[in-house]
Amino acid sequence: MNYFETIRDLAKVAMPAGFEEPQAAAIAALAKPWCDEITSDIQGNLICHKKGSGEKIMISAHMDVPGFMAMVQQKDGLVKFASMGYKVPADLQHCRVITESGVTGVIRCEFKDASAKPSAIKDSDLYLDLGVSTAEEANALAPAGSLFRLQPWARQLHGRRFMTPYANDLAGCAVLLDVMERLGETDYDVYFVFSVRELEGQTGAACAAWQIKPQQAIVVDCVRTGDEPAAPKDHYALKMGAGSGIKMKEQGFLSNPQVTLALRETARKAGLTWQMDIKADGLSDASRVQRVDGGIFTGGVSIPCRGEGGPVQILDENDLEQCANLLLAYLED
Amino acid sequence: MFDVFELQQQLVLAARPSGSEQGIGALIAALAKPFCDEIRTDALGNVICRKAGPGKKIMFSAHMDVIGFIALKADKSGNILVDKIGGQRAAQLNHTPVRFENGVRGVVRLKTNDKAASALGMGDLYIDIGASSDKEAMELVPVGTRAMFDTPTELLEGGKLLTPYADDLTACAAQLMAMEMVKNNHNDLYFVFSVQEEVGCKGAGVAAFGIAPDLGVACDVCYCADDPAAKRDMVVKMGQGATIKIKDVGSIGTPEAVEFLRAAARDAGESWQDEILTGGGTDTRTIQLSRDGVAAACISIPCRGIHSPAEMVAVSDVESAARLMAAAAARAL
Repeated sequence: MNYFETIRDLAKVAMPAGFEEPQAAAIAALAKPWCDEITSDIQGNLICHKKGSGEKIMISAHMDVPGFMAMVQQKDGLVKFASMGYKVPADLQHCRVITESGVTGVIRCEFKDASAKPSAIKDSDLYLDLGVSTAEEANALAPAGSLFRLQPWARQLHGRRFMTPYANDLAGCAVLLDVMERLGETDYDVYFVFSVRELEGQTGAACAAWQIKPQQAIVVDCVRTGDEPAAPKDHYALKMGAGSGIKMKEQGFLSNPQVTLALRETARKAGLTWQMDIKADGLSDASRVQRVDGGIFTGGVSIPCRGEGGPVQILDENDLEQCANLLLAYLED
Repeated sequence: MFDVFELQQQLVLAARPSGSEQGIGALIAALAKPFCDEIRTDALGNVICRKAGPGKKIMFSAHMDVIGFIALKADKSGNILVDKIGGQRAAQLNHTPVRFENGVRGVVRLKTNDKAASALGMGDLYIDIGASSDKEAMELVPVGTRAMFDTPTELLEGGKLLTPYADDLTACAAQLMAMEMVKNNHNDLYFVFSVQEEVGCKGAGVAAFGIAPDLGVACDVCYCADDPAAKRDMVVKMGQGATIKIKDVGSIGTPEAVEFLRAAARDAGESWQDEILTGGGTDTRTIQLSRDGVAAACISIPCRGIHSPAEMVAVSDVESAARLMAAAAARAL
């Protein structure tokens, strides 16, 4: 799979939590040749079933992306908005955005004074600047309740690395698609779930798990690396380019050893490069999936991602490939 | 007739940081050629376009250098450490995509958000190009390689331009348009596309020395009151026309020169905004201080987000600046 192109193309259509229909349709079209049945549920989760005679396994990646919702048009034409899925408000200043109707704008941060720390910038300091000067003009371009998001783009860096605002978690979706395409003989009854609303409440994957009732679940998500000077120190164990991450722990979630040990054993046997993903904060779909029904054995495969949670995220295609290889080996073992 | 948007796109592609203006100088010389009698490039790289006339000398000047970065070294992990060229504000640069002059792409990362904006400097940031070691990185980006903002130039609803370098390429565009408009001039006109404005207004000063004009008119961008990221006590607004500057931090417009520009505007039926710029200087200063003094003033294009990778100007203000310059050029001095 050409991960760069797949992610770039999905980014062009991807919408924020609760509005995932466009990327669901794009993913369904890509998944169609590689599975037996595709359904979608009440919340909008896309469930791709590859039938098998053995135990049920759910492999999920969330397809919602971060974005913004317009709230109030001020008399000077600037628009107050709600931010969905971004961690650091200061990261967003001067970022280019596009509204759901295709209008271009830019996020501005209200200037306080030169002694203010960027870390003190709050969501409420941010405005959408559409280049207009009245509330009426702003209302015509971005009415209250309308969505906008960062402009979708992707650029290749050195080697097999590339950057885009939309790694999280279109990269996970691409890995799932790659696994579906390359999957050979397996005893597992496999459900590939492209989940909704991960970035706002982790709603989707848990609903899908409740319907599927798998014996085990593996959540594939982007996780921030700790190997860059900009990363918060001591919180992130992952390194870019060092292979797939096998999730051990995140905030409020511990992987079931039954899954992690099996994943590690698989990686060892197949000679794959992998690393442990241990972090103090962060949240994926895993925590809620684990608690569904009478409980589900749950683990995670983590994609190392620089700048995860921010407006420019970097991936290494080698890592994506290693994640897919690990899942393939696990299913085929 | 020049189209502002198309011209700006061309200029942005050719633009380099101060001191490396050869490429854009050649482009501008080619664009200006049909509209002037003589073009020369001086020792510093200023492109001086003369439209000869029997009257007094008027020098117009817009700078064609832009702010950027210059590579110092790579750290062990392959990140590029840089110095600034021009007035970069580290606190507003996090996650800005950049392009080195040799085509290598990367993204600016700030190591910390937890320092006063005024205390953040180039030592607090680096550029991630996707390299994994210092050796690899230095081969891709040798010491001294320059980088520019790598954000697109876009035309918004309502005729606004979003571009990395409104400052001062939109003024260069306005100056080219003014050259195109002026016919049968009595004054001896010099249109200077100056170098190294962003590092101390160096180019325009030497150009003025060489020309020895009777009147100098700089053209640059200025802050505006309706920019939340600047919050200046000014009356200037984007989209209300170009300004005639009364004062900036580096210069007080020569009263006769300011009045000359106003009279020219009045006679041509052009409106303008009165500008007092409370932050930043322009080429006006070095022109004014050239030789034994030159009467000098400035025409400005109101700009939101100055020195950010998303500067915004109104196309109508660029056109207004061009008409003001053309009116001044045509008025007997």
